[in-house]
Amino acid sequence: MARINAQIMSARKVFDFTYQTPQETLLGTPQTLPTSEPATPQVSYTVASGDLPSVSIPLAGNKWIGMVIGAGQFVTAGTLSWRMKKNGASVNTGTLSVSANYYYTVQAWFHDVSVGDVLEIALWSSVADSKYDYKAYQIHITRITFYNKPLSNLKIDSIVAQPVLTLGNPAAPTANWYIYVIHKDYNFTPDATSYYYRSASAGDTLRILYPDPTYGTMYTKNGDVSSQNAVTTQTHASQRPRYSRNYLPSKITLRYLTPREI
Amino acid sequence: MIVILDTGKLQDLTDAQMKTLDSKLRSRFLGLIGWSYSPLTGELTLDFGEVDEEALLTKIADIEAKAEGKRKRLELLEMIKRWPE
Repeated sequence: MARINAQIMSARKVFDFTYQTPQETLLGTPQTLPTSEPATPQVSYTVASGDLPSVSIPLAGNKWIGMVIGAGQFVTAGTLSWRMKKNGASVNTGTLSVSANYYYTVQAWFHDVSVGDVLEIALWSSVADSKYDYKAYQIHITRITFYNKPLSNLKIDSIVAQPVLTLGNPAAPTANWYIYVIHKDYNFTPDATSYYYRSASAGDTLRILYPDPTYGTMYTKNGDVSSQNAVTTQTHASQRPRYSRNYLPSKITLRYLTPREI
Repeated sequence: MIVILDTGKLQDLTDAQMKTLDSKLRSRFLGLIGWSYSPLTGELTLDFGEVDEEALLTKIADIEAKAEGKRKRLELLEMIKRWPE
């Protein structure tokens, strides 16, 4: 009797993602920034297991992004310098022009962090009266592999924008929230460099998806698609912090496919 | 507008080296708001803030000339474009 190849579709799976509330600290008394690089960074967080987002069904794979903010104000116009460190090693350095009486925000995106990693930002200024008074931290998710199998009818039920901070303002929020979904054509050769991605908004359903061995099925803008182990900076006359947000999956439903001969 | 130059060098910068680089970049690229450098990738990112389209095209041509053929990548809004070598 002839056999045919078939795909067995799983029961519907519902993935609920929960993001931890960002840790924020506003200093009662602002610190004066040094005029050369400090030996001990002003902003320091150690990644703890309780900081990681939780998912209702264990994932086949993912990476974590550490989002760390340092912010303050310049009295006299000058140049802010920063160094982003992971476990004591320099990851990124740079400078930013800040006008007199303006607030600055340095938002660092550490790619692929683990529990126990120490994430730091050192800040210093070209002028002697600049201040630092605010820090924040949150972990985001990226490179989500739901299953190491083809997926069917993946629906973006809901998306959240993170971080949501009690102070300051998000910069230029996008009207249509979206996340990046990796999708492969059935005959597309899977490898680490050849992949497509598209943006998907809440309500979108993607019919067939093949997880990429490197990028999984979904990945995240800040800390991965762009600003990977890098900073985004902002200055503003009144907003501190003024920060970027990631659009992250909140609820995803899907089925996976298992090939069978019948 | 953010322009990313691949310097091809993976070297950490000291505070003193950062000051020197900052001075050179700001004298060469007028309107530069800030920059960052990754010792992990060798990428030097130049931030020119918000500029209009005409100024953007002029700025790109200027950077292309000054970057002496180095590999470049332009990141504008959600669009990322990489030029070939």
